[in-house]
Amino acid sequence: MAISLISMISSAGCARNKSAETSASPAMDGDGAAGGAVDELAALEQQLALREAQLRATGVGSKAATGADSEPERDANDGIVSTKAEGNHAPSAPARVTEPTPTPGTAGARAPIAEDLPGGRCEQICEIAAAICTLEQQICGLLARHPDDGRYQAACERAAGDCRFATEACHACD
Amino acid sequence: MTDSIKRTMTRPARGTWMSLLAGLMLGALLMLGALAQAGRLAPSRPEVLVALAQTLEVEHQRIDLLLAQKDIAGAIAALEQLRTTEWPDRATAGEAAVQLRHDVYGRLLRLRLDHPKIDPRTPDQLAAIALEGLGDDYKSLTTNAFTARLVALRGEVSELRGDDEAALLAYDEALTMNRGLLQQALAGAAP
Repeated sequence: MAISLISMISSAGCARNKSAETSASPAMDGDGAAGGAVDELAALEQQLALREAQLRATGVGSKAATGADSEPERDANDGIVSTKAEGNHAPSAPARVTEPTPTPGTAGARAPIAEDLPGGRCEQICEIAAAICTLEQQICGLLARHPDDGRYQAACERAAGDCRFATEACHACD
Repeated sequence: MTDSIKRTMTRPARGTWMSLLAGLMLGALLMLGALAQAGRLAPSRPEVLVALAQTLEVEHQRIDLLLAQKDIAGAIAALEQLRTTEWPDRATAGEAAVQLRHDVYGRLLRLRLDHPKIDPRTPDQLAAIALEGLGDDYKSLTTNAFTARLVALRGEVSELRGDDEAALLAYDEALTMNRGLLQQALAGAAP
């Protein structure tokens, strides 16, 4: 059994190292340097696309939170979300207005990622808080149809607590 | 040597062999699990993921333009077209590919729910879209905003179908995911 565990641990370590080497950008030899740079560029582009999509996902709530148009405003050039602050916000939803991101100056430039923007982390926190408070509305909306069911009451109370906490976190994040 | 002594000698030997065999099997299973875990962290074909992400980025920008032109039908059609994409599985392109799929389906469902008269679909058809988008193993994904949104949208669809129980479960599940995302963001890690 001990021999099996040792072989398992060494195999797992080798697998992780191999995995790291596979995903690692720089090539080990000079001939592959160009290929390594291309890989790194592709990985960075992938990360940018994912971050943009993350921002878009966290910024798009339901109709209740964002008003008539649930799709966020996007500049065709920068592709970064700027969540609408107006509309039918619930009282518990955070009322933080996000700044639109600057448009890229050159044809080949990409939009900056969240961490590079001032308040990027805070923007994420507030977007998540908006999503949580939207869910609170939806859960507590069900309660009206099931007033005698303790599960709906409990879920609504839990959601309300989460919304309060998230809203405070958003307001405290400056 | 008496029979009883022989039996005593063989019984523990047999037991020892059984224990050794069980240990070997357990070790092999643990090793396979660890190897699978290590492999899960990196897609077997990262170039597939990169190509998918770049393609979707272009498509999302096109959809943004359609929406800016108030062409909701066109945006929905473009997202419906993406549904026919041959999505790579997790083993090939990793978790990120699944998250990208969730993003596409989430955007489609959001538009359909907000504009039910455009290319209308029944609540059951919307539920099928949600199920198709989520897939079978979405619960094993790392907590992320795309999956959380799609799960919440499944809750909205359940409400449309009159299934408040399913809606409550979905909303609660999405809430748990968002709670996790918030904790990550507060801790400083990117959700």
